Amino acid sequence: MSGFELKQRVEAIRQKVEERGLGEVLGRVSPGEVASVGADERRVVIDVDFDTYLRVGARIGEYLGVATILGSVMLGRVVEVRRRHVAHIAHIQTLYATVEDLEGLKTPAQIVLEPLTECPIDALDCEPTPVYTPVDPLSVVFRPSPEFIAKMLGLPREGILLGRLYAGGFELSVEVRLPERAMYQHVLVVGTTGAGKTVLLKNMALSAIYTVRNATVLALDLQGDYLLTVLPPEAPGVYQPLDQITVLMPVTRHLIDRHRENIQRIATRNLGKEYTLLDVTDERETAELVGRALAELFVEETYPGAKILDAETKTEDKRLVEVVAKVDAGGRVFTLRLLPWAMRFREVYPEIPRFFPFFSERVSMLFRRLLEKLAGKDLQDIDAVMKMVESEAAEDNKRGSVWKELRLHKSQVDNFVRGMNMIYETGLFDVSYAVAENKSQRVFAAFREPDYMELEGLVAVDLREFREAPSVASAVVYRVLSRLFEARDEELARGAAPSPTFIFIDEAHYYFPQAGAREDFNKEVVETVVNKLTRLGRVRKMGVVFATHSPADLNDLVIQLTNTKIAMRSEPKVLERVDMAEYAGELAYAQSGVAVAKSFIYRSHAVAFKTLPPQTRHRGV
Amino acid sequence: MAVDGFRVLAEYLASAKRALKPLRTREAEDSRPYAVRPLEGALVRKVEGGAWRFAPVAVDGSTRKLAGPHFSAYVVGVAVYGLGEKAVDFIPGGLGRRFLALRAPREVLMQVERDGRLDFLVVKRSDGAYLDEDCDCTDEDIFDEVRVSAESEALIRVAERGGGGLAVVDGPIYFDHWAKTHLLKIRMTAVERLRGAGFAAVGVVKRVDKSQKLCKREALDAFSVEVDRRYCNDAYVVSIAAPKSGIYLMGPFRLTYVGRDIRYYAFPDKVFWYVSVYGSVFRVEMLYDDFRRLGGEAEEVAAWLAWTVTSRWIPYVIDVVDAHARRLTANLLIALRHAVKSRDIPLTYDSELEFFDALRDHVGV
Repeated sequence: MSGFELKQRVEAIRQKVEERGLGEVLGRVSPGEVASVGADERRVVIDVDFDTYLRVGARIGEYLGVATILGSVMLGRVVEVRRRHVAHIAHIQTLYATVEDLEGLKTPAQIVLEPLTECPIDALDCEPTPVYTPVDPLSVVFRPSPEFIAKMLGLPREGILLGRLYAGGFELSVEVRLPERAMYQHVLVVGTTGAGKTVLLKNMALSAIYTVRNATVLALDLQGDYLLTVLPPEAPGVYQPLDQITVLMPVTRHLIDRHRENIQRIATRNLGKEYTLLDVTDERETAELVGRALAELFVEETYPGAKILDAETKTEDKRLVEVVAKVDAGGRVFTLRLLPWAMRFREVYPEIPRFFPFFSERVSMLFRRLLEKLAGKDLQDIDAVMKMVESEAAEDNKRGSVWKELRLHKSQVDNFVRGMNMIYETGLFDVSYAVAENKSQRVFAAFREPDYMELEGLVAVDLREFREAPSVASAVVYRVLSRLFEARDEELARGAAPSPTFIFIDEAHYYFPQAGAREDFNKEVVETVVNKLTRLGRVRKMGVVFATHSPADLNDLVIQLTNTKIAMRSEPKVLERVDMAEYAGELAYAQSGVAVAKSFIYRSHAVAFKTLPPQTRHRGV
Repeated sequence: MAVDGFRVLAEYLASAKRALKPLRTREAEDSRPYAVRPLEGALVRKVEGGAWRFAPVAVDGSTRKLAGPHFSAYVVGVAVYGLGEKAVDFIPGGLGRRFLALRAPREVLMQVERDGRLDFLVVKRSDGAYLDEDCDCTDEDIFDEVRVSAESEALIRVAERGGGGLAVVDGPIYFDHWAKTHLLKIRMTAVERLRGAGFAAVGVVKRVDKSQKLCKREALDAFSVEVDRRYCNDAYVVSIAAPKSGIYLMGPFRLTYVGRDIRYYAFPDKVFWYVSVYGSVFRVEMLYDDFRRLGGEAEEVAAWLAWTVTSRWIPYVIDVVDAHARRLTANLLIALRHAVKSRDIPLTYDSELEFFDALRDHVGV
């Protein structure tokens, strides 16, 4: 082939790049360097003239395209940018003067590119492959269009929206999504405080609701972040705020005690001037009035200034099931479905060791028998049980005691008694609101667990009450997650396709600590919950998104069983813990919202992206 | 496309069967009578340093020769620094195309002359005579044919850019050789174009051991040195007159060609300084008219060039263009040799040495 023909060929390639909208031509593969595409090394050096360099810049991590003389078109990532003064090129050293020669800056920028994928230039609808063909010097280099980048990276077009592709310090208009199937293989998000984890999780939760049909999103909400997903953000986003939120609100005895007077005040106001709550003798009606009052208190605390337009209360078996309220928050009207949540000891006691991680393995095995031996027919409520436990504990050396009968070691007795006291102190069992002081006239408003089958849309488990009580929060979380799992399990057993369920767990180390991190935690309980959710959850269409700023404190199983890792700004040792140490350079000082997702799902194994701004009201904004 | 062109050229050279007779060697320096006199305030001045003041355009040509029994190729490359968008522009390259003079049997020269693919070749002198076996010329004459043309072409491109400033040339501003009046005319046309565009042309002459400008009585008197003028050159005078340690500027001196011949008017007056950098010497020169126009700034230009001297004892901008021009001709020579060797065309031993020298410059050692 003559030089003239070669020139024509290269020119034709350049024209194709421009005519097909692949991107803006920037320069050529350097004739002065070896362009290497091999098993050990993949490295192409590009010369960009000084004016183009000044105009468009050059940034580490950005994507560039190469159209080769053999007819391939490739996508590569910039791994190095070299700038040299002419004095360096010519090996010049002045003896006395300090060189301040600005003309010498007008040298070509050299950009080192790592080729990633390729397609034939005449078959751009191909499935991109790794780079197999050589790159000749003087091949045409271009800044690729967003469509080209998305195509060549093989980015999924559907799934949960994570954000937009981030390259070279810029956000590109290319959406980065995580397919639904990857969600069922679970996700771990790590990042330091303020790196943008919560915004990412909330946006993902919103995206899951909008993009996955019939999805239920359950968010463990320790700070009240998800409760704001019904309110609009500062600036309009891609998604609309939700029109409905379900809040699962653990009602403890402490909470009832704290709000006793408020509940009475609100209930009385709602009854009208002529009556007070004391006049109500029907337990169902009492439950409804107390429920409505709890809803008002919740709205007052969560959405300051908002008011309830109307509310419907549902009871079952005289116990409060839910309050469905239309809420007006500064003109934004949404539906709040409040599910007060508490447990009856008599109903759940056999399962307690599975969600209260305070008991040793031996005590857990004997727990049911112990209780039944201790309380017998009196196993009615936790108050009665505690009296029996205390009484038995006071006489622990008595011949014929339950401890002796079950051959319990003193340390096991201690573990049991201490655990029972902790359970009692949680105030989560046998919760009710007693209206009258006089025992004979007392009317109770009692609470129960919801029907987990009926959860839908965004469900926030309001754990604000337990910010300073990780053990209690963990117990609530284990119980809710176990029951939710059982609901999906039942669907599967019935032969129905389980509804997609995504569980968002921020501050995951709080609920799933590393073995030995908390001395009172039975690691078996923790790991059983993690195992059940992750290993068995997959086929039940349950996907869990864990997030933590401290993966060192997070249970190893979570790290092992999450197939997609998303790292945001983090220290190198944090990235090392989640096997993403190679991204330390990009992430150690990354902007808030910048993340790298490492997943089997991506052709390039890892994708850098920037999260969308908060799509709903956010506490930090 | 030089590589392509070299391949075509090699095909023609392979057909050359007649050996070329050797050229005569260059005659002694044909210096015209001139007068040198110190200008007011001329003395030995220590250069103390200072700020990076100037951003001149700099031009330099480099030459290399590749020869065999049947041909001689004279490769010239010109580098221009600070002209425009790129730090360095070149001939051959964006500034011009003709860079290679060929001496070969007449029939070969006539063939290549007709081949449109070889438009980078020079096969005739500027007076129209072929560079064939009967050429009455020296190697230097042939190099000058290409080099002066290419450098002048580069200077014209500088003038076309406009904007004024300094244009520093590696070598004298013009040759004072009678036999090459046609080349002088080409160079002076370029210099006038430069001046018309607001540039002052400044020459930096590195090889001064054959120059005897300071051996004139008036110059020696200015420095108060006694030298046997039969064994004198400028480097020697400078070594006596300037202290050994430090950077010194010696001048200015005005050089005027004297004679009754009308051709003397072709040589305008120059002003020069000698620079001694710890004993290493070079000359800075400019036209007298530019010297007057620049006023006190003229000497500052010379001082700045002295202060920016590099580890190769030449001013920074000259080093930049010199290094680039040498690397350019090194690359061209390597490519040409490859094309010639691939046709089994024999080369002289000197050419092989030249090739190794080019390899050194190519890798920058």
